[in-house]
Amino acid sequence: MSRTIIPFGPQHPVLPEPLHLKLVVEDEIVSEVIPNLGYVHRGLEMLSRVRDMHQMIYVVERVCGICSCLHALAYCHALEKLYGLEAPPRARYLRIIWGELHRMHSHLLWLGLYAESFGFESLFLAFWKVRERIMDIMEATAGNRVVISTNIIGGVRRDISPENLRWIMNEMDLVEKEFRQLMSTMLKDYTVESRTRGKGYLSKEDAYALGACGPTLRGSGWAIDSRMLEYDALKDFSFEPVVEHDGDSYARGVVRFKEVLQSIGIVRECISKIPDSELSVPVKGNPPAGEAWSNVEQPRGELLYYVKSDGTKNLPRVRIRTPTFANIPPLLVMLKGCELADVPVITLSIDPCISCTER
Amino acid sequence: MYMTKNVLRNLFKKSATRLYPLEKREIFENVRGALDIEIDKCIFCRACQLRCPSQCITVDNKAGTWTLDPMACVVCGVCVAVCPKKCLHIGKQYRAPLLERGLITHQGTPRVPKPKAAATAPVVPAEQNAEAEVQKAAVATPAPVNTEAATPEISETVAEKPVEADISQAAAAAPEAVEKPEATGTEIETNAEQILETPQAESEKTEVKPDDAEQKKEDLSA
Ligand code: SF4
Ligand code: SF4
Repeated sequence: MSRTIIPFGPQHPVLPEPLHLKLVVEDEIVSEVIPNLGYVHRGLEMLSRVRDMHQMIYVVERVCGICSCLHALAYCHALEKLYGLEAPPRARYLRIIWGELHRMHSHLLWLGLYAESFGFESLFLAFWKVRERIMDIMEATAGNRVVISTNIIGGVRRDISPENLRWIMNEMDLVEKEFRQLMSTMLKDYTVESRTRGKGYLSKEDAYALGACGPTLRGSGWAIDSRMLEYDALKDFSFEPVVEHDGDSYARGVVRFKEVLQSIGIVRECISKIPDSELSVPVKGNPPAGEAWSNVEQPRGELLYYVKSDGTKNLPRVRIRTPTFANIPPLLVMLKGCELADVPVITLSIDPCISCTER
Repeated sequence: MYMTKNVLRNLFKKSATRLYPLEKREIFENVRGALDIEIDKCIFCRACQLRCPSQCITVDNKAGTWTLDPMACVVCGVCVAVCPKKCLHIGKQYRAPLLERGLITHQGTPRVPKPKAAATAPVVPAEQNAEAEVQKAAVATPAPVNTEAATPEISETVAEKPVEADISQAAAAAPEAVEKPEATGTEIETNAEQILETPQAESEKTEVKPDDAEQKKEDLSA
């Protein structure tokens, strides 16, 4: 049998971002995958040497165009550890509300793109229609749809008024109602199942050994989620990660689907319990020399920030480990032995975010 | 089953999308649309320029100009928070698309008084107040700001004053000095160099250099 190498990406209709995979194909079956990254490297980590640490918040928010709020959150957590600060209670709740809204809109975006990857365009639009409600909440409360710039070191910059909190509660009901209507289509439809069940299998052992994270890991049966570390307001709630055991693309879709419902629950709980307090604690001077790291659950998995300070206003080193970076080795295993036509579905099933990965 | 209901509902319902240019949505309260300045209140203290994360503001305190690169501004609102005179505002309306990149320059009145103008009674107290406020503002910079960024600036502004006064005394008789403030309104220039060479970058150069060698070493060992 002759081998052919087919390039998949960096420009491909199904890919939202420039991922390049060289597929070694034998008769429609992928026998080997060679990843090629580096198309969107921007050197954002390096900028920490020329921008001061407060300005870096706005830089790290732009690492990812979808979960920007959580990048800022992880960065602020790391610096708060350096300063030995803790955000005031209300700020901790607001951070979680905005963070979970980001998770919802990211998962809804992914569910749409995923539906599109197996050719179900009306489902794609239906998910994005629900997502629009969340984007509106973001715009009305934080002033911007995606890059909301609300986190600062020591707290948050904006408050959500009581009327807006009530309105968000209302919207959550509508989002849940509209979202549940799509459940039977997404989870029980014959076409969806035939394109995703059994495709891109990742065994429980492989998932752990290859360092998968986020829904990719939880879809293979591991109950591991950084939110179990109970950062910010999460320590006031009981949190159970969503786990599926099948390890295929379908299971990863189900994990994300259920996580949206879980996030709706967390937002509701936060709003019902939100305490009153100031929004931020003052931060004085430069951080003491030292290192700190923090991790936060991003929609795609665990996000890790390491910062090193030398006592000046610039941080000599910021290291960002993003979840897609961890999920690429498992992807290569999933793709081995699959049919060429399933490559887009399987690639999307890890929710690749290449801008994050290459920073 | 959901399909049939959905088809029927969609037949009779209004569409979920809008015919955009004809029908526009109401803008939410609190939306960060575009940055604007009340140039008359500005005292050219450069706090906004130093704090802006995308370095899109250039303040020239001698010429009395405040320049914004609207394409580089990410409308984060940091400059609004640090401005001691509260003369920056973020409006709700998003900026309209532009065909080419350019700078928006606002011309205000430079804060250093000319001796001729100083001789006329009403101008003097106002200008002196402005100066006093600069110093106050510079000293009482808001808490989260790190002091290193601000301190070199304070010493600069303080040191500059006598020099500027001398220059303006010398130039007071010359008619060129009068021409500057007349060029009001917005001008579009296309020199990107102005933005690249911000004073912050200069101060950074001096600060970062001694550390650089260390950092490189660390990088290699890492
Ligand atoms: S911070 Fe305010 S007063 Fe100072 S230069 Fe900027 S706009 Fe003018
Ligand atoms: S809004 Fe932000 S990016 Fe724009 S000029 Fe102000 S500080 Fe700079």
